[in-house]
Amino acid sequence: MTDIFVAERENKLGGKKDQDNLTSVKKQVPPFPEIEPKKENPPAREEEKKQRFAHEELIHFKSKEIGLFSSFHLYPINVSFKEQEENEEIILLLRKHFVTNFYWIFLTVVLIFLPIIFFLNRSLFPVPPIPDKFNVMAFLLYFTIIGAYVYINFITWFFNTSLITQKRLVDVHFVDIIYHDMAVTRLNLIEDISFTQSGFIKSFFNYGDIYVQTAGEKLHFDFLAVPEPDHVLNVIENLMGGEKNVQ
Amino acid sequence: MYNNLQFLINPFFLLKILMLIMIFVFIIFMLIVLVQVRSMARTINQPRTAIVVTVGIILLLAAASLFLTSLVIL
Repeated sequence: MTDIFVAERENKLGGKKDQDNLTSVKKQVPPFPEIEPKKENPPAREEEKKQRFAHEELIHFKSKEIGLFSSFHLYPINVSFKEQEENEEIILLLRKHFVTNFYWIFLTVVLIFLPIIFFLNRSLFPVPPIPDKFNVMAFLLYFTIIGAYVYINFITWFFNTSLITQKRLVDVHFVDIIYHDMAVTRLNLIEDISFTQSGFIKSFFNYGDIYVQTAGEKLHFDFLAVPEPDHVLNVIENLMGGEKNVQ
Repeated sequence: MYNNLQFLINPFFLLKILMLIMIFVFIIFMLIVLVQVRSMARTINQPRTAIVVTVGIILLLAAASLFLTSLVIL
């Protein structure tokens, strides 16, 4: 049979002598004044810290003030919406990627150069001679209408905004000038969320469509052509608590 | 008796009227757009909305001055 030896416990600080020395030192050093720990609201602070950490990867999108052509902005300053609650902070402001405006910008450039081409090759077009003052006025009216075309397209892009707050998703639609609506859903009503990013242009400029299915009155929230769709998805997921089904 | 009304069938006069009507319709359209922009600015307040509204007002003023100029010189 093997014997089991149990070694005697030794004090890490050494022998009894060392302990006596320590107690003597302790007696000489005056005790520190007791500092009461600061009473904070630990869960709220930790939650906020957690949230900030989750968005750290997007911190390079955070700048002081939102730009006129900005389509992705983290913690935008001086932005508010109609039914914003107290202590409701906007985390993300999203618009369609600016590349999606390419079509009307290209068309505008063509329309600007069209009269120049017309005047240079006037002989090719059978136009009856009209006084110069009519030409000048028509020219000015033409460019004012182009200005209006640019303006309307720009405001359509500018006001089609999606907001993500720590409580809700807000989708503002502004279509065809005479129609606009605002849909809001609470984060706890979100049932399913997914994004698609298909095609060369979308992959190259890194934008895609986010589809949110809710249990609210409006069943679908579509954030179309938003930049960084994977990050947006992560932000929404983090805000939801990461427990939902994310495809 | 109707000699004084001959200008009504003048093609340039008709062209002038046509341009004035076009500019007038454009002004009304821009007014509607500006009302909508103001409404949207209330719905969602952004720091650069003021610039957007200013550009809209400039366009409206340009159209109004075009209308008056057409009325005078054409």
